[in-house]
Amino acid sequence: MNKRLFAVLPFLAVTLGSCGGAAPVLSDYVRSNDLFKGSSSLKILQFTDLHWSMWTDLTKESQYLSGLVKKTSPDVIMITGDSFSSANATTVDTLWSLVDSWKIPWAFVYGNHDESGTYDPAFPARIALSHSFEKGGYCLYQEVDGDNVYGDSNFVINLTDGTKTIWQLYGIDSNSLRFNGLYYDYDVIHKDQIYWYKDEVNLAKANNGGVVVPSLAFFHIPLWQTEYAYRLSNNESSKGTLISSGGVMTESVYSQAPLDLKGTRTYPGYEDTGLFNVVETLGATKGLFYGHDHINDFYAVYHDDAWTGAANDGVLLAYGVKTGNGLYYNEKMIGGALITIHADGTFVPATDYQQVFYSYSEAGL
Amino acid sequence: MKKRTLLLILEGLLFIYAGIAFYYLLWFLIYNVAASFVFFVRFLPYFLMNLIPVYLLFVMHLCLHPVSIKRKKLTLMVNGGVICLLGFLTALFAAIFAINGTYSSIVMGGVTHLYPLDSLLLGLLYSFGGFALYFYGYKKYDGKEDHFPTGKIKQKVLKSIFRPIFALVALFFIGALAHIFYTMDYSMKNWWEMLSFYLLMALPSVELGFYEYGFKEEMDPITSQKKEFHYSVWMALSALLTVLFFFIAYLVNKAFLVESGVAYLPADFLKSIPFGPVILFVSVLVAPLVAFFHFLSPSKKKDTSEDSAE
Repeated sequence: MNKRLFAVLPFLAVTLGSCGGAAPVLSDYVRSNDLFKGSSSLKILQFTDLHWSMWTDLTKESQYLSGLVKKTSPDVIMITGDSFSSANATTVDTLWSLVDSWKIPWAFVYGNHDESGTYDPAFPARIALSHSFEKGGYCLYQEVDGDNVYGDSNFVINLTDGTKTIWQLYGIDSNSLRFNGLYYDYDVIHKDQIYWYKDEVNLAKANNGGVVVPSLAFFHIPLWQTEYAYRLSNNESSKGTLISSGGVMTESVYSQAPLDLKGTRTYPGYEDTGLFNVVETLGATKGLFYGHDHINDFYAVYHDDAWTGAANDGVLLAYGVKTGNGLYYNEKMIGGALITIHADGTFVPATDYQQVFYSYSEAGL
Repeated sequence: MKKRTLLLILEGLLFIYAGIAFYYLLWFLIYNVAASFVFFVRFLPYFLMNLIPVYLLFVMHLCLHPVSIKRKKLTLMVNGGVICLLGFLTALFAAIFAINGTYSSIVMGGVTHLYPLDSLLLGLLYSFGGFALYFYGYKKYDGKEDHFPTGKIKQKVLKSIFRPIFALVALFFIGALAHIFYTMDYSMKNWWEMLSFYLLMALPSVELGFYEYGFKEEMDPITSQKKEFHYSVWMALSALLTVLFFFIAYLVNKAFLVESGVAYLPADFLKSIPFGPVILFVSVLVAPLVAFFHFLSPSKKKDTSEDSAE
């Protein structure tokens, strides 16, 4: 235990020392990576809801994930939360070391269970950062301490071709829970995070000669618009316009859902804080990718009143495919999601978004 | 140092160890409920490894506070046998799972650094220890003295139900608190709010300690009664102040438990219900109030004279 205490002291010193430092600026949240290197497209593999715990069979699960990566050959891996629940330090070390060992740039966002372990809440981020590019690893995760943006995993990855930013990937912390006086609701992406996102999009646009830089956003807890789109897909009356949809919603009905969403099978935050509206207004982000509900894989191209693009276009809202057998799952609905982005800034959901189902038997396990 | 004092210190140390074991045991069960018990059989040795210290604590407590010599003999023999069996099963399952490939190796790690080797060795240790208890009970007590208490049966039954429940609450939270150096938020952003919760988690164990080592050990009924009064007043005040401190912290910063206390409340954050704080409020307030009303009870004098006769 003493060893751990000593290990913590430098961290405490840095934390306390940073109190008097300069206020963070927008560029502090950004990491750039020259991944395009002349190629016409990049493949992003989304993992979600791995739920590795201290009781997970680490050997078997490592083989499963490695098999999925081999099958899809991605250029970037984005992990949309709940990588851990009821985990310990070994679990975190093992997973992040495994992901880094593939030598593919990767990042993660926090889910509502990632801090539930026998470690301090910042531990998953600290271990991820120990695999950062500066330290010889492949982790693109960025965290700005002492800032005024709520949550932890708020960051931007600039995917460049040389020095020109071709695409941006946003990691946004959808936080965990909020006590409502009786029980816990799922938390939301807070207003100040949305202002931060808006500022980052505008900064990228300004740095790109006034031209919007296309982007995708990754977080954990779905937005209310997922339910709106789903209702429309079932020919029920709802807000907005549905362009296309696919996948299923097989979660049980959310009994604690907000009144406006009664009967929903999505488990969103306690209110709609307006991220989707801002995404539509800015017109930069083409797709929103999340997880949280293990046996929902519904996706939809959808827009609402603030939409400024073509009438037959919209933003892709997509549940990831639950990765692996952590906690509860449907064995026919596990794997990952493969997202292809093009160097010319295009992203066509119908062809560029693909659910990859990968069973344990296919993995030979 | 007197033998009894040594045994009481040993019981205190076992309490902390059993608390850590119970914290993991309960966490394991809660996670298994959410995961439809898919991990349960695979980690049966782990489950048993964490169950035995809790069981052992209760056995030790019964032996330190026996109601009769014959009961002590029975306690040692029966429970020694049970511990021996549980320890043997722990070691047996760990060995079988390591041999049949359920575990990738005898030190595959994961849940602990040395799992399942640690389960195997601890299982054997508990098995030998259990057998030693059985043998000690068999040899030491001849069973001639047989004086079972017959008075206040209803009260005794109620005590035998609620005291272990209270002890389990205290055990879980002292086990959680023992992880403070691993789990506390080192950014210290909610330090004073979390302090209220740390105090709240420690309080059931403090109350239990006062009860077990404070006035319960006192042989003189008048002194015991006085100590019980002082205990109930001080503990009730401490509990009220701590709960008040917690509520102030909550009113100032409603997010502090979500941001910094997740590790201590696995059930709460898995099921989105605040079980932990509610159980703590009830536990820390009810125990001293029961003691206080017990003190006020009109039959107290008669009861204490009955007690002394026992």
